[in-house]
Amino acid sequence: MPTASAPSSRDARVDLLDTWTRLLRSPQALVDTVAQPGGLALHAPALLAATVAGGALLGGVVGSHHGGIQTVYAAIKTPLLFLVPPLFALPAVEAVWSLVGTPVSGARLRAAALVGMARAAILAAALGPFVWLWTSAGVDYHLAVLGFAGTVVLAGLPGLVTVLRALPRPTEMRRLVIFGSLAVLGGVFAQTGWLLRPFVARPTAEATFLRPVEENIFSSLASSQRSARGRYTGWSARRRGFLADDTPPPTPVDRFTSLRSAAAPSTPAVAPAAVQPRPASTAADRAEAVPAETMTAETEPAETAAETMAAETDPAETAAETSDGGTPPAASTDETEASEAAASAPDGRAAGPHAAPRLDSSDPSAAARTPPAASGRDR
Amino acid sequence: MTVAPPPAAPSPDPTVALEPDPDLLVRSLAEWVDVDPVEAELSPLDSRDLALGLAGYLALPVVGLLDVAGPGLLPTAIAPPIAAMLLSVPSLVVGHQYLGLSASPRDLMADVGRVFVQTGRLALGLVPAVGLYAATTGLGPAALALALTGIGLASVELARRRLIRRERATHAAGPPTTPGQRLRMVLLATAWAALALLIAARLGATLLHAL
Repeated sequence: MPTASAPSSRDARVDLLDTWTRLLRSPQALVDTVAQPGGLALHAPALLAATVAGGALLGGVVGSHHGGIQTVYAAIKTPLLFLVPPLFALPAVEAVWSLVGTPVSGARLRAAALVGMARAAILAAALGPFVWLWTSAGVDYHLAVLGFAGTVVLAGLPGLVTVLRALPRPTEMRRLVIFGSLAVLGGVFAQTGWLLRPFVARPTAEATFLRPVEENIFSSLASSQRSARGRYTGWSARRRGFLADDTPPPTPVDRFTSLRSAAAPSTPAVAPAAVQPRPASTAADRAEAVPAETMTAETEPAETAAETMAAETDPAETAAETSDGGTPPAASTDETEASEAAASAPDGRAAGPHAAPRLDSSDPSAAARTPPAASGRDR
Repeated sequence: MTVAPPPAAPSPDPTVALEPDPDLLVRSLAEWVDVDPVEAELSPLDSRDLALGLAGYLALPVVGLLDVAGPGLLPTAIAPPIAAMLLSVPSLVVGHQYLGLSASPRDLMADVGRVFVQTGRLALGLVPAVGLYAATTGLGPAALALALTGIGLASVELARRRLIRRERATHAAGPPTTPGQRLRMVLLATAWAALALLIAARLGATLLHAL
């Protein structure tokens, strides 16, 4: 067993396997070693390599559920899921510890974070074969997403414990300090996962590296919760944040124009076939009863602004999109993405690439022309 | 050889147990809000700490409100912590002197100022996390409000603890503290913390309403 000694000039090369073994057997000793002067530069390559390799393995496994280029995309993005959150959360953790009179040196904090995320990634890689068995057994898209999320949480907890144990014990307000640190880390981790979506793409969807910057993980979870209760009120996926592509919100004049257009009788230029579904008693029944044509947009006579039309989406599709963080069909201003999303049935089966008519959210009159019969609320 | 049985304990007087004891109630309350005997922090703040603290209070609202408001709302966002400190510290000092406690008012103000600066550094540490939400979601103001709430709670609790310790440290160098003095200081610091928190919450509510 290697001892936690200061790196010397003779010890310039670090054996990858040795470091990875220490990651699992004695992470605290490894943190001590890395935190010593010169230790970070010496061990960081091996630890980063462990993070990248472990994350890529798990990402490749979950991406293989969709197959093709999505496997590569997920393999590239999953290591970022481990690497990015500490960058945003560690300054707050350092400040919280310092606030209660237990300052942590920057070197120790970086060492703890590096070892913690490498340990989590290695454990995630070890869980990869189980995830592959799970996803290759023909589970549907939603279960594959759940398997991925559960694996990341399961592997991430030991990494988190490693970080917390490597830090000195706070002299006071210990619970508040630990809870606050976990809250910041958890919030950043959740949002990072949301930004890096999709990891498990829907079987019928085109592979995309990243979704547009829009909404947030909490609105997605709230929408899922509503859908689970049978309240399909749609999900407004708007592009927000100063990094998002700003689409100017409709002005009152736009809304007035939209309402006038809705009030005026007109023949729909693009009239999707309105199918009367059978009465559905359960959420699953409702989801299957709705063809993709009716998922594209909902329009009510009094609710015809382009923004509203673009925001409305099918409940079952919302649930599906929520799981991988995708974009609701008509919520996206990207036509390709809209038709791609609308082409996917709730259970992941294809509904045809041309099932969704193009609805340009910048054209309020197009929204107004959508007949109420096509509304998802009418089914 | 026989062993004499121990003398029987006197029977409790039932009338004593039934009577409410206000001192006991106050003492219990004071013990509940009292702090562990950790040494008071006496080291002076250097200019780096001061700069980092002020930078945190400035940077956090700037980042949190970047997507929804211009610089016009910035003073409103900074107002709650500053106003809470400025409005409540005079009450603390006056109450402290009125109650006949021993610590120097200058030391009390220094303790509160030190906590204010240190929590400013916490604000600086939260800038990346709040910035992530402001950059990628519409939750920048909500994240800012949450961060300021956490900072406010941490500030008043830390300041309360340090004020109590400051009073103890004063007595450690001079005549010992009496239970009454200790009780008064604990209650005064707790009441001041509640007052500061209420002021900050009131101003914070105004900020949210303005958004």
